[in-house]
Amino acid sequence: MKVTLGPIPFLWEKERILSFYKEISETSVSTVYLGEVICSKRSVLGIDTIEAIAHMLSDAGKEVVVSTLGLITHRDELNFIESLCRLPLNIEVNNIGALNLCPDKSRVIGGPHLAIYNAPTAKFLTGLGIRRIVFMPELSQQAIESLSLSVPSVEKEIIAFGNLPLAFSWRCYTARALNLSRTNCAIVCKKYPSGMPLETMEGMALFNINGTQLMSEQKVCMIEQIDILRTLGIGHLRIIPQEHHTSDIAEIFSKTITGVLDRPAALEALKRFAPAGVSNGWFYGRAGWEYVDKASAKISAAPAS
Amino acid sequence: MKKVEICAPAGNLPSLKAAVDNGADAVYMGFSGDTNLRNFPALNFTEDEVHKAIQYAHNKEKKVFITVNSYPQEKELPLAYEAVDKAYSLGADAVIASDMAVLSYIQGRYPEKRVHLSVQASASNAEAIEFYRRHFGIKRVVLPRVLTIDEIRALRAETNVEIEVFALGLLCINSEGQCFLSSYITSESINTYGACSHPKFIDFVEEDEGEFKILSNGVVLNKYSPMEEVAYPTPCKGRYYNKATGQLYNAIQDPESLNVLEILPEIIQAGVDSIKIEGRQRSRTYVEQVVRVFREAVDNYYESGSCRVSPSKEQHLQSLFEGLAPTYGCYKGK
Repeated sequence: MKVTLGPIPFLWEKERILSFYKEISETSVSTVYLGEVICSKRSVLGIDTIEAIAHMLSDAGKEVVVSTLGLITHRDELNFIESLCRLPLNIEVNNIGALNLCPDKSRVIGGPHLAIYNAPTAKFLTGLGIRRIVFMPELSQQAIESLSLSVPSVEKEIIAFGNLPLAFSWRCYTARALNLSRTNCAIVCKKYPSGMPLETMEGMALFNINGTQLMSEQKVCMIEQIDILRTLGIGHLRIIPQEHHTSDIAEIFSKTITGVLDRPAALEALKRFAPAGVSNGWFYGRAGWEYVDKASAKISAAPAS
Repeated sequence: MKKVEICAPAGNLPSLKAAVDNGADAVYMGFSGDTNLRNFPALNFTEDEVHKAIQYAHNKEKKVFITVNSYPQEKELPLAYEAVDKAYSLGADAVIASDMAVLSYIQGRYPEKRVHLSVQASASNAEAIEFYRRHFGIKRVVLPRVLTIDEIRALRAETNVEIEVFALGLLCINSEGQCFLSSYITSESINTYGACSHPKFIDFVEEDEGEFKILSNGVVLNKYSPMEEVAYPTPCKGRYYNKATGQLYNAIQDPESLNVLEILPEIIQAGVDSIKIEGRQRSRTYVEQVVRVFREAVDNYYESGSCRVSPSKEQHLQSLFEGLAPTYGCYKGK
């Protein structure tokens, strides 16, 4: 099993991004997904910079994939994706429009934002030639199993740690929180490198505002399910970048996979990086925010902060 | 000149008749169960009712579209395929679908039949529409509510696929088919199960001093006093604390509903083929009244260039959305 690093969901300063990938290049992460998935106004990295980071990571032995937008509403965005397709890199598509654009489907990875719910859909897409599927976070173990069995020859990945993507909108929720419109947003999301956490009126952590995206505030954590995932044919475990400790999290996963670290110790260590709690409910057919403890099969509620 | 089509909702036979009798050009509806996106109790059609509905509409030269627009998981696929078979064999003018398995089935089994791409596929750009046209032969796309009128006009110039847009009703603020808020709270996926914030998860609990709180699967979505009107509790209409700013507010969406009556000319001029009214879960009276207003507005447009209807009708239209303020969504800008 390999550990992969998903695209950075939040908007960070360019310098921070560069130093982040420098740090990642020294970890055991096998695959790094680069690029903007959330909002086309956040173009802090031009194609040249993406290429330069890709070079640096390839030199460090990483597979580099360029990720693309989840929601596309105009031609400029498609044109940008088209130019990304010209880079000699694998491409993660998160929108069917991007899939249509990319001429060489053997370089395509179907990202977690494509609606792949059943075997015929998975087979149709792999029939076009796509090389890997990242399963949607809301799929249960049962759904993953039937999908996985239907496409044995393609690589399979799941999101194994971090804030889960929950929704895309035309509206910028960060701008809305600051009484701005998206059109005049001044890219204020840059000031919130971990997003804006939302709590219920009774103090339960729930969502996270990340520009035009809503994420979970709990972090999914699949460390206890590594063995099941392996039997389901999942070869890639994705870590979602976060403001702090991303490489520590990746190392915990690597060490657990190789057996250097045991599951309970790994889980305890990971919980420290998830102050609003960990979750894995969807995998067990429960609410996404819940955590099903593998050992006791008990449901533990997300803690109020 | 070909007028823009008015596509009206129906959750039962009386509503379908109301739509047809009051000027809808087409009616969309679904079978009972989880093959479509309005899987609510006591709603939708049995096979016999679909048969009657299609006969009624066809007698008056109106069209019927059948929604099979959930994303079936493995065990639900046979049911979805069966819904497609029934829809076409009963004479539906089109099936509205989003899932690629369902679209493939239609393409393989009914290549000569009409298929529309559901809003749930969230095809919001020309390349996505082209993908579905090329592979599945879609004749029409129902656009997700994420585009401005300018963006719709630009799309029109790039595709020959018919375009249907939402004009009235409850408004998903998030891109359709890509919103997992309700699923995150309740476990029940909108995409596979066909209902957002299903009533079975909702509890209203009275607290001290007459205040109520609304819970979804035990998660607090809102608190309100008996004096306040509250929107149906979907997670996007909830009130939350933003820990970065300290505000307590409708962080995602105000209680509002889509109403484009005033900007209808611009929408028609963008080149859309059909305007869709939301509300399969609503009453016969609702269908009758909204269809009547939109019929008058559309007819006025082709006669005089203006969509004006009398102010009392306009007011009445919005009063059908109790507690919700009218909005243009993002049609006029983001």
